[in-house]
Amino acid sequence: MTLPLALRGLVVLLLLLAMARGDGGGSADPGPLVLHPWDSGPGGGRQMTTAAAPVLAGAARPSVVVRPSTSTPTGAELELLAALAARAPLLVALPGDVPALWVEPPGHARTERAAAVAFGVTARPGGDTVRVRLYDGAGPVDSLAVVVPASGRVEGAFRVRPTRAGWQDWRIEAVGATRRAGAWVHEALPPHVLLLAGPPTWESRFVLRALDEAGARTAAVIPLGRGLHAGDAGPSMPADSASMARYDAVLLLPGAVLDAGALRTLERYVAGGGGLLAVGHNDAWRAFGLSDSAGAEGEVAGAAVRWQLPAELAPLPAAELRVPVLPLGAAGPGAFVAAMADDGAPLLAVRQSGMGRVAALGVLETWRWRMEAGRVDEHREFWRSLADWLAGQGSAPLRVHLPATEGPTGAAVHVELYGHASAPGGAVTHGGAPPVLRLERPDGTSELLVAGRPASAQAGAGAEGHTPVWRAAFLPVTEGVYRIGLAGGEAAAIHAAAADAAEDVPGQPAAGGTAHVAAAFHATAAGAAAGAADGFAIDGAARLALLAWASGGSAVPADSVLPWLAARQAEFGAVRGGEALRWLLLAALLAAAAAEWTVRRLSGRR
Amino acid sequence: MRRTPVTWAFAVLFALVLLGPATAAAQPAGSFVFATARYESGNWDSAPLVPSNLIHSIAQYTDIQVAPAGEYVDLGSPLVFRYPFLFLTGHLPVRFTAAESRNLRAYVERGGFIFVDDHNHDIDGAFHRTVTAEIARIFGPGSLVELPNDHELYRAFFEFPDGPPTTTHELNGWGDGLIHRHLHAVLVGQRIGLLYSNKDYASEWNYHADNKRFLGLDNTRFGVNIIVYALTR
Repeated sequence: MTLPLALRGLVVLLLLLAMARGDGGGSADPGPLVLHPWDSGPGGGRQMTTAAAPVLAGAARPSVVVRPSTSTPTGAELELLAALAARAPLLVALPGDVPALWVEPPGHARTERAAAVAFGVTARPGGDTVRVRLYDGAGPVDSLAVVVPASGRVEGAFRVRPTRAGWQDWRIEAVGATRRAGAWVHEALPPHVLLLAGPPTWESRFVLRALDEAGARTAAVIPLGRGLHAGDAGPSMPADSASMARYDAVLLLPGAVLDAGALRTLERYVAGGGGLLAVGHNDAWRAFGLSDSAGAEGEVAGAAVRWQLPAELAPLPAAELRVPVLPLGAAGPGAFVAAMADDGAPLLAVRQSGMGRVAALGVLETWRWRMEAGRVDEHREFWRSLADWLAGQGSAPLRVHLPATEGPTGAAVHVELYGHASAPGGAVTHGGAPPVLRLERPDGTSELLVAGRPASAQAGAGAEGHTPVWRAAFLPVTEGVYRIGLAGGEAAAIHAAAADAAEDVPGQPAAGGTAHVAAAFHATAAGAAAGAADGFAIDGAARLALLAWASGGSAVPADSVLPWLAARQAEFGAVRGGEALRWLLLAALLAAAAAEWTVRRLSGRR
Repeated sequence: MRRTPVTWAFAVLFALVLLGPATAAAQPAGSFVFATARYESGNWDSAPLVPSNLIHSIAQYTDIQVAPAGEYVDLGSPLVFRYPFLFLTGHLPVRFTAAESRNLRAYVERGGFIFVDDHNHDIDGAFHRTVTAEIARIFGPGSLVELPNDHELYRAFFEFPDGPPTTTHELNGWGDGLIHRHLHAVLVGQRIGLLYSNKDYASEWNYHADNKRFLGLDNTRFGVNIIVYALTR
């Protein structure tokens, strides 16, 4: 029995049509475009370019561009992927040589001061929880459970407080991998904190108690009335710099009298490297560029405060309580909002000022966390880590250098930071904590980039002839001028990003993707610092991840590419059966037809 | 039912009483609130004029921002943790409930300061025997220790070089007829968490603040020291 001739013809026609749609071309096809690896043998690059050509020409609009290869992308391939990423979300498999775990030691560790041992984990995305454990020479120290987001990459940090000077090793275990990080710990005493307050309140009392219990050295100026005062720092703040130099940080609480002379003393103190925290103190906020004004005094729920702290700082936990606040107004130039209320009102701002660090806190009664919520340890650590951070001064001014002052959108821009040119023998050294850079985007929004330390061997000499002490990078997603400078200072360099051929494509990703960008490049620098792989391989991987995240796609481990697509099938469409299968079917059909024709000829039938 | 003005007045009064604890946090940020602990056994309200008298003294002598009226708070309630200073007194036997015991221990451990005064001035009295037993049960045997008379409590604002000032009830031979030379305390580290007195300051300070002007020497000055100590240590 044979099929009617017309039906046979119809089957062949349908199959040919399916083949024509299966090449990733067809402008009506909303499915994913799967790219062959650039280096998949002779002609691999040309093959990829050919597949991408209809997309670049605007003839095709895939729902997602998939790069399943785990090989490190070449520069040319990155350029092509950048152009594609402007037209469709990019889903890439993380290169196989990217470590599943990287660790970054503290930038400048001192005894009795909080420092951060940072880590990054690459794991299967989609809500899996990964346990990360920290060990030192004496054994287990801490552990964290981190949830892996859709990007497949998560970063975090352990807060450590070394107790002895000298070399210290930390070991982090996660996802079956172990990484070590070491740092030289410098000798230092616990921070010496001067508390300046008005007449005693529960807040002044509990701040002092928290610091005392946490091992900090404290002194206080607390007027009681009738010329009496509590605390052992005398009736008023010292007016001379020598006396102020005894203290690592000053806490200015509401009610403290701050006349013009005291303000000048504090300005000199901070410029020389002292730390200052002003709680609910509008004059000080303005004087130190933290905020130009204050909002209306009110109350917020303890669970509604959102913390975005440097890793060395400990947040106050979410708790069922109401706490009075005096929100900050708009954060000053270079100030970073590290906590805010649920309505977005800033509650904590930090910035570098001269050689010192300053912070403004709008939460007026942190003692309620301790008394009402019973979070004694957290309240203690909040204040101690804050004192440690404020006391973490001492970094020499850095110079910001951009090797390229203009370039296309979508191409990573590297930022190099150099120490003082007067460094002896031209050897640039820097002992401070990782500097924070402030990037202003063309639309006026800004974000902070935490610089990482380049691995000296891989980083090589920078544009100024010697090795930069820190590096960071960002990805200009939109056209325009990007200004970058040290947080707390003026913009020190600008970069003009021009639109490339991909600019005018509808559906281009929004500039919001740069939040991931900063994080990824931070990871890049840190990975290089850990010496986990050679600099370029890491750099290429990070650029690939940047492109993916900025495009609205993702970078995931190779075995997670298909699950990622399956989870988003409704959004991006399913990956169809594959070209090989289609060709196999066509070949089988043709073979069957040929066999039938031969049998007919041999049997003498028509 | 027809509502008379008297009915309405009672309704409003009742509502205010109900709202009392909830409005406690509405004090201006940073104000010191003198809180008296209500406990289920005994008579917690035996010295109702002490709060206003000490509030008056704090406002008179110091620059501390103080709420003009005291608060009453149930020792067994979570609201007790809103007030890091508590005053507790009475004449009658005391037996703290489970919630009161739990709160009292947590209160002191978190950093609260509670001043317990024996309103009987009698070491054989019901209050003393039962409350010290309760303190031992909650904080452990031997937790209530004698406070040396050179403790910084006696220098926190006014100077009391001889330790705790005597009360007229001691000098008149009332109660057990003894002059108690020391106060006692449950210490948290080096700080006082619970201050215990047999000296009957509750009687000594239980007069209207307006009558203070008739005293040759204000006898509430030691109360100022207790509050200043609690607010600064």
